[in-house]
Amino acid sequence: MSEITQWSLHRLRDALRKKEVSAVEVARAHADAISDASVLNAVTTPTPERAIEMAEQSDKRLASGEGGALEGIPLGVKDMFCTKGIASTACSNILDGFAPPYESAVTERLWQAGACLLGKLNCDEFAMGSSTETGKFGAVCNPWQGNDGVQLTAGGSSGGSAAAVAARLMPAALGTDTGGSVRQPAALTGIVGLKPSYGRCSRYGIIAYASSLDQAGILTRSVTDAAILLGAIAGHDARDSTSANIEVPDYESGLKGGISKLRVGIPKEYVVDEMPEEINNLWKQSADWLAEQGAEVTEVSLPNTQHALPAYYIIAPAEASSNLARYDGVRYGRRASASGVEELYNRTRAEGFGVEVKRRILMGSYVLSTGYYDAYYIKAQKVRALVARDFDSVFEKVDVLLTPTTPSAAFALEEKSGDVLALYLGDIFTVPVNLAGLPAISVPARLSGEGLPLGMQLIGRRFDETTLLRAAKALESSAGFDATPQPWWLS
Amino acid sequence: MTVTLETIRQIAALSRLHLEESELEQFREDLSQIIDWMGQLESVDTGGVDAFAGMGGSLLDRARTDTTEPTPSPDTLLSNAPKRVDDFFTVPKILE
Repeated sequence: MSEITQWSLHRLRDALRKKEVSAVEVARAHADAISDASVLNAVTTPTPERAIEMAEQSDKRLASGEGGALEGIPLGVKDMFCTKGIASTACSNILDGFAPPYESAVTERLWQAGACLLGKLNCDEFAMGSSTETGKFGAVCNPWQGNDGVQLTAGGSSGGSAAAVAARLMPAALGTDTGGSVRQPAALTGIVGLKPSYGRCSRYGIIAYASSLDQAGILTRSVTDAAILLGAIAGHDARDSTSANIEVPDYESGLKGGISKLRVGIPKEYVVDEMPEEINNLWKQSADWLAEQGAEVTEVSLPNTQHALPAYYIIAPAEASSNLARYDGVRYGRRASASGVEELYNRTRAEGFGVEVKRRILMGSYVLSTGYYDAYYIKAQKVRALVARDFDSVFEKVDVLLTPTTPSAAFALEEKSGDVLALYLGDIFTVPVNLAGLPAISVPARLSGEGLPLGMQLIGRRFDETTLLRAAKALESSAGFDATPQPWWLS
Repeated sequence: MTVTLETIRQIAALSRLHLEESELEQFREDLSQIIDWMGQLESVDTGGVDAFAGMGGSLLDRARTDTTEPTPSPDTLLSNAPKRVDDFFTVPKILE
């Protein structure tokens, strides 16, 4: 294992600029790490030749002093992003063989900033899941193992992205976050996961799941790295009408200045009965850490929190059933053999979609159908407005909110696959953020009694990622989390 | 609330999704369980709340000039088609 793969994104960036290491060396070291870790199943389509070719160009630009913000940094991206000419399948059989004729907006920005593509990363099919077990490439293994070598979930849906960054296969990766799909896997693998505000990054070229909730997300091993990467991918894009045309601050320099007088809220409704004591304790400890650095910590109330999860599981499938209507076997992807056009649609979709995707399409069609639309879909939208109103009202009193990211550490693979509701309930702390379009970040804070990572979540005001990242930096520095998984996959 | 097999058949048809007989019962059970759980929203007081007051607002509300932009060539757009004839996507015969 090359030492280079242990370096954080900002250390690599600085070393590349000082020419202590070449971009090609960096790309090779990470490409080798990927080929040695195939058992993790984090990378669905490795692109080592592409990475080295891009790194050669980076080295030329670095030599002439023209490098971009991410010059020579090798990265992976979740299979939900369209990458021109490279298989982009949302880990679904229905997109078999699909090589997009265009590039997603945020990956386009990555390559413009000088980053190099190491490969596409595994996820739940169409990002529908919380354990990265539902995709056509199979389950991702968490680099952290349970007692007696039990294989654990890396979380989901961006489990491949999280596992790859935690296992040092790449310094950073992109995921997508519709209901927690970046923050939850980050927490379960001991890394940082950032979901920017809705509208902060363009969704153009992200395979759509639930368009009013989807947002590109970032997985890194430090808050500084997340700030650097956000600066590279954020910004207005005319091709996504929901991307906000507002200034993108310098997030990296915004990390400085400390958190003196920062007002931190602890939402009392996030105390749930079944939560392990060690997570409650870590939550209190994290609040103390922030207070020791000068923050003012107060209890706040978000009374509609308990309604967020059922509202989410109405709205997200409703949007999914509409978004996934495009997969018909006509224009791209898989096509079943059929004698009539109706049969072509029905068979193609039956063959192409997996069980969880079918379940959500059926749920979505149900809540949107005549007779149920008002009772479920409209009701859920109203509840969503109440959830958002709660946040608006507490953000008049505090600057950020502190909560756990997940109600437990990583669970065993297949442990929850038979119990749909149990898996949905794991998203309890992450989902309200998406309903309200807010930015949030998960910071690794401590190992559980069983030796597994636990993450804490900070939630910010819409478009105020600067304050959010500064608070996260403070939490990171107090927590001092530096544990790494044992590289069992090398043996 | 119990969802019937007939309802599952109807929404599968609306979803253009062929389901095997063996799948129907499992989806019926899953959906019944999930819909029961969603029923808790009934008790939330949403009087006077605008369902679509949500996010966005003035930040996302903007016009653009109506100008033409280059579009990809037919060959590019058809490059992923499972079946094509000349510059057309093809489907099974629709009219008898």
